[in-house]
Amino acid sequence: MILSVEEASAHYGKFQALFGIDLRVPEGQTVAVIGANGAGKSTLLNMIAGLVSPSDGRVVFEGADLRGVPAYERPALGIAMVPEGRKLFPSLTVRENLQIGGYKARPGPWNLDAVYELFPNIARHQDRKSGSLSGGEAQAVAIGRALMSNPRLLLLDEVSLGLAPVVVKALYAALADIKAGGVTVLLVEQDVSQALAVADHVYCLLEGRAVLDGAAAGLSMDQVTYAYFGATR
Amino acid sequence: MTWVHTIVQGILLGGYFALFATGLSLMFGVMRLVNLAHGSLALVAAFCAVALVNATGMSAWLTLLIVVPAAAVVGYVLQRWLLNATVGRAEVTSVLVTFGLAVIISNVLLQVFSANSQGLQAGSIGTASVHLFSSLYVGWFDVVTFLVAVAVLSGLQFMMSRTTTGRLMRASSDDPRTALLMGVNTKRVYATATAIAVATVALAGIFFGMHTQFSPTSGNDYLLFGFETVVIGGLGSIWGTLAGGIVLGLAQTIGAQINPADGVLAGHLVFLVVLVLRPEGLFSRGGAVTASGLLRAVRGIPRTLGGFSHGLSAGARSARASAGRASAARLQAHPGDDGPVVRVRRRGRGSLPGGVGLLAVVAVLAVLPYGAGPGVIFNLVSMFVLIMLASMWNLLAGYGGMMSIGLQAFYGLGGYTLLFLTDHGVNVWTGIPLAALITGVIAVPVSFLAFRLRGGYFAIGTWVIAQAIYLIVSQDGGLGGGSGASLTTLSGYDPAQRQADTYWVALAIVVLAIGGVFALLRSRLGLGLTAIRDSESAAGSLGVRVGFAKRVAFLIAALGCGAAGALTLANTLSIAPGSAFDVTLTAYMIFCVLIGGLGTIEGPIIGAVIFFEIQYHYSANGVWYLVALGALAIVMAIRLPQGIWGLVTARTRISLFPVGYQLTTPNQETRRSEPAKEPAASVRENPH
Repeated sequence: MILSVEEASAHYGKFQALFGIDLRVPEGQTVAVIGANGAGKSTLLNMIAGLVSPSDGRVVFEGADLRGVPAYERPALGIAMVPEGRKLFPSLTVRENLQIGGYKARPGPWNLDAVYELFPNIARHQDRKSGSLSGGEAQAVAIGRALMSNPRLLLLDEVSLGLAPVVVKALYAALADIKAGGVTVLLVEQDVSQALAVADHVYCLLEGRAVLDGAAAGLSMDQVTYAYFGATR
Repeated sequence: MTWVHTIVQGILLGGYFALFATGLSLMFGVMRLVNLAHGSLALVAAFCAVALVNATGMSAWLTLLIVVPAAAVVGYVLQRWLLNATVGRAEVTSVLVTFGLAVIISNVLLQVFSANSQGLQAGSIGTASVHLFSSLYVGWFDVVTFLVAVAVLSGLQFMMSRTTTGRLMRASSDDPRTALLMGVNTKRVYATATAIAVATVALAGIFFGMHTQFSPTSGNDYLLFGFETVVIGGLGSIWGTLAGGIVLGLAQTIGAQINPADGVLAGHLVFLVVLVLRPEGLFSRGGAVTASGLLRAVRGIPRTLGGFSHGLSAGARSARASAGRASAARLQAHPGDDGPVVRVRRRGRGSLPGGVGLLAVVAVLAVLPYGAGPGVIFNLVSMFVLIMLASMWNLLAGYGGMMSIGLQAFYGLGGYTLLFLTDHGVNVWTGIPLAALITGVIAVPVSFLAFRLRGGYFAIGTWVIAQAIYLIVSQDGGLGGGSGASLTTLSGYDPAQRQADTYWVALAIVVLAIGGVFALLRSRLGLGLTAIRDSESAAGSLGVRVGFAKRVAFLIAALGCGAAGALTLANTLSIAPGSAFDVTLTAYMIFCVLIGGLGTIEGPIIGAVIFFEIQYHYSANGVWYLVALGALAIVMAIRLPQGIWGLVTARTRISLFPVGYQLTTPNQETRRSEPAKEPAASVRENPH
């Protein structure tokens, strides 16, 4: 078990976003978290990345409690995140964005050349300011930037958001290559069918609680729909 | 030949200003932090150099080797232990903290080094000159400074674009949250940036100290020079900084060539002209200033004026519309179903008894002159003035999101307008409201200048405007020049009667001012203003007339400060430009608002009363008293931003001047929809 979230809650001021979440990510697998807007998916990922502190419970990475470990020390432990909305540094070039991703890199297979090989289309734009990229290119850079630290656990927040289906397909195809290198993936998706297609295990969040989890292959669409909306059709 | 000489001197002077500006621009670029203590830090470096020279007899040049690295350490520590606490919070916090720091520094320097001017000797190079051609000589020292400025700017340019440190700074500036995810310890990056900034400004302070004499009050000038350089040159452009320095240097030397006393004023005026014609700076990436840019600006003036008059009529319309509505409306939470009925209330808890209590206080105050001695009456007028000033600063900053460090401009203008009016035969009591009105009218064109800037830059911009007005007034012989003048028309008045009359006028004006602010904030315009404070662009996109609402608030603040200045003149009978346009006045306003509570009507009143008491008992301690005030301001801004009244309302929900709306359901569950007391509430994040 590379990551386990145990009974974790999170608050934004007086607002409680997560209520005692339990989640396990076995090494080498792909786990998906699905749920509607505001279900707490991004809060969960931000908590694992260290941007949000759990108000209760804990996050355990490779057996060590991450309490008190600031976000900027987590890449060196092997946690990398592709944040929602890509969040590239717009005044930096593509190459500089990737270099920032590798600022606290662990040893491993990923470097500039490897990223350019995975996403040949961004290699062409390496000296362009990242603010001028298309959505798909930007997402590729964002994923490449996270890979530059040679993570053991890759957190992907809404990779498909706002992208054309053909681009999403290409990005998820690249995910297969990434996993082949031994990276464990925890991804958040609103696109349920996409999540079920790539994940080994799926958690469904509803209003801050994990209401359903199971092997992706074993879940019926009705179960998922009920968990997603909190109601039957 | 004099003119050629003047121009060469002006260009070289630009080197000093570019050095002052570099750190200011770097800190703003990386952290969006406007460091109001920037000039004071330069001054600390210069005084440390003086102390070193005095203690060891070393050359001023050698002190650079000690002071500049020490300044870098100071910058790092300052950012790490103080300024990082302001990053990611409302901009008001960093402005208040660095302003408090500036107050502390200049007063400590005053205590340690006295108010005397000091100088640093540059040795033989300081007096040597280079022969350019025919009879044109320039000082070697100025040339060296210019070259140092170019070297510093080149080095910074290289660091930002080519090194890992620069990359980390740009990434942290773009998106600090994501930078954390990439393993970047942004707080350490910020500390590095501040270390570099303070080192460059120490360099500037020592070089300028070898060029010109300085005193503990020079820090404000340094800050304004650096700031003007940044704005003239254009933000985010390193070479623009040098160009901006040269433009400012030219303005100052040419101005001084025309009239020796007008150098600094000419610099301020050129800055204001640039602000009007090209607020993004002459040399920002948009290109150089062009004739078409000038034409655009000139054509824009009637449009903005038209918008203003249109806004006035629209404001009147909406005021009429809202007057027609009942203050407590009933609305159905879910139309069509039988859900709970929600009541919208405007009265807060304690509003009614509180209001009655306030009326009683005013009534007691109104009869006070019959019982109290003249000393008490005199002090109470001063306190009323302070309440007015604090309320006006709060209206701008706490509700309109405009932090001004230039309200002393209107205070001084109010006093001087009254002086001018009474000199021309106007009765004092008619003169006070008239002076306030005239000040308000002057504020309209001023607002067009000031609104070119935002946030911390607005703060310093208004300060420059106040300084320009101060310099103009202090050179006007008709108004008594630099030494000031007395209000002579009241000399035939019975002193006791005069004081009592002043008191009643002051009381009437303060009640009117607070009532006016209260009424404004309860109106639609007031709601719009609060929305602007929280997010200007969001408010604008929802149809709030941003420019109009801000301008009304600015105008009212100017009116109030003008009245306060006129009242002070009537109370003290004398006025001098140095004290009437003193930036310390704004420091007092800020302090009152901070103690009492920003963004509440009650706060500034409470703060002013408390501050008045503190001042009454401790101001005899002089300089240390101001140091303590600065320190308290910093602590309040970081630890207790909601002030004393904020604490009271959080515990009791008492609201004497309710300006928000409250939703209540029959089961007494109260959901508050009052605008947030602290501007821009932020999500609590992982401390690191």
